[in-house]
Amino acid sequence: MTQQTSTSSDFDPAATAERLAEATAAAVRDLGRRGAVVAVSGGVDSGVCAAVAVKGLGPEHVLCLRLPEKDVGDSSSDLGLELAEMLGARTEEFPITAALEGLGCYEARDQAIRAVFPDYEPSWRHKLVRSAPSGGMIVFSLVVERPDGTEERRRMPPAAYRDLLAATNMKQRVRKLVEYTWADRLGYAVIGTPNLLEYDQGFFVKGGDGLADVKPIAGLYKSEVYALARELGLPEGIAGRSPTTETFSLPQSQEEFYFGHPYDRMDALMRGHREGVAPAELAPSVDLEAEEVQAAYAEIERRREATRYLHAPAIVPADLEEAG
Amino acid sequence: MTDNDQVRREMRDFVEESFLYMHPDLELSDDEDLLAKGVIDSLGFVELVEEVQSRYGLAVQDVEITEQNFGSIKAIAAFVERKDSET
Repeated sequence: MTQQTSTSSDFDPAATAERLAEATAAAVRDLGRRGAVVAVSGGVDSGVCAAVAVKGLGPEHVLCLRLPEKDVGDSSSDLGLELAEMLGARTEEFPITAALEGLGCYEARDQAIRAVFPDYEPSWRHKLVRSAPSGGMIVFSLVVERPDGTEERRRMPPAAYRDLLAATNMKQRVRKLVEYTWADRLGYAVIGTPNLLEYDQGFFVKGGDGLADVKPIAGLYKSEVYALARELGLPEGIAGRSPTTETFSLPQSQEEFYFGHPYDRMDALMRGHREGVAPAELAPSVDLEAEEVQAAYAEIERRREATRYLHAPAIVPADLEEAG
Repeated sequence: MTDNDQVRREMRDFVEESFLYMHPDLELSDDEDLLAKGVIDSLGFVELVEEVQSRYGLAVQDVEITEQNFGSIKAIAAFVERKDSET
């Protein structure tokens, strides 16, 4: 699926690419590291991060790691390989399925799913989806695809929801473990790939994809990341790829799992919220009613508060005592 | 029939035990908005829904999980009373 880019009129992809490349290289050097590890998922965020790192540090100082996992399939790793070859950077593949099996990830996941669908079999594809955005409560449901191809959706009880997330979050944490293993080996820093929407709204796993030394695109809207991908000449399979969660076996968009809106509208809502644009003023440009924009603003604020813990560094009581 | 005051007491106990320990200085009245007060997040609401279902033997549909029905202790009591009268 090809993505459209809708950036603000003052966004300059070429200048931004230059600025981010310099800043990323400076940050890596400041940390005393001699290069950067980027886990490339085949998505546009990690693709842009890898390209920015190569632009700033040079291809001989960047490792593109491909970390395939059975639920995601091999296509992501293939795209990562295509990217690394285009960038001229070193690449390594490290499948994480065996590690996840050893940790009991899939078993724990299947148990959580059986709390909702007792007849679930591991061969069934599945995903987690949220209710439509209302500004109020969000209800999560589990969708399974039965062997005959029919899909069924049931609300997730809180314990099963937590169990499922705890199990699937292992994927992001194992990926990060491998990234830091290679960083240790090479004396490199680890690049984090969240964009502004993900970073601001806490759409990452603490100790997983949220853990990194440098996060080059955490200040960029998703549409700006797509524009950068074009500017940097990323392969079409990456530059035009829809955002996914890379977590569940059924195709799952970030919209249906987390944001509740497609990324280009979410960009506009986030920008409107940050710039204090009144809901009624923004509404026509995002094809929503003013009340719906207000509801989206409320969700943005609540998600920030609900995910504050994810951003929080470890608290040292002695520091609090000194400050107090 | 379920007594409205009893539901309020039981739901208040549940909210206090499950969520208010994170907000020890918070004073919460029965008609205050649990979401706006930051007492409960979305997952917390689903916990409330589960509690209502299991404690009062009610089936709560997805479309009924709204702030109108679960936004405050008072709202929950009214919702339980209404559902109970329908059965």
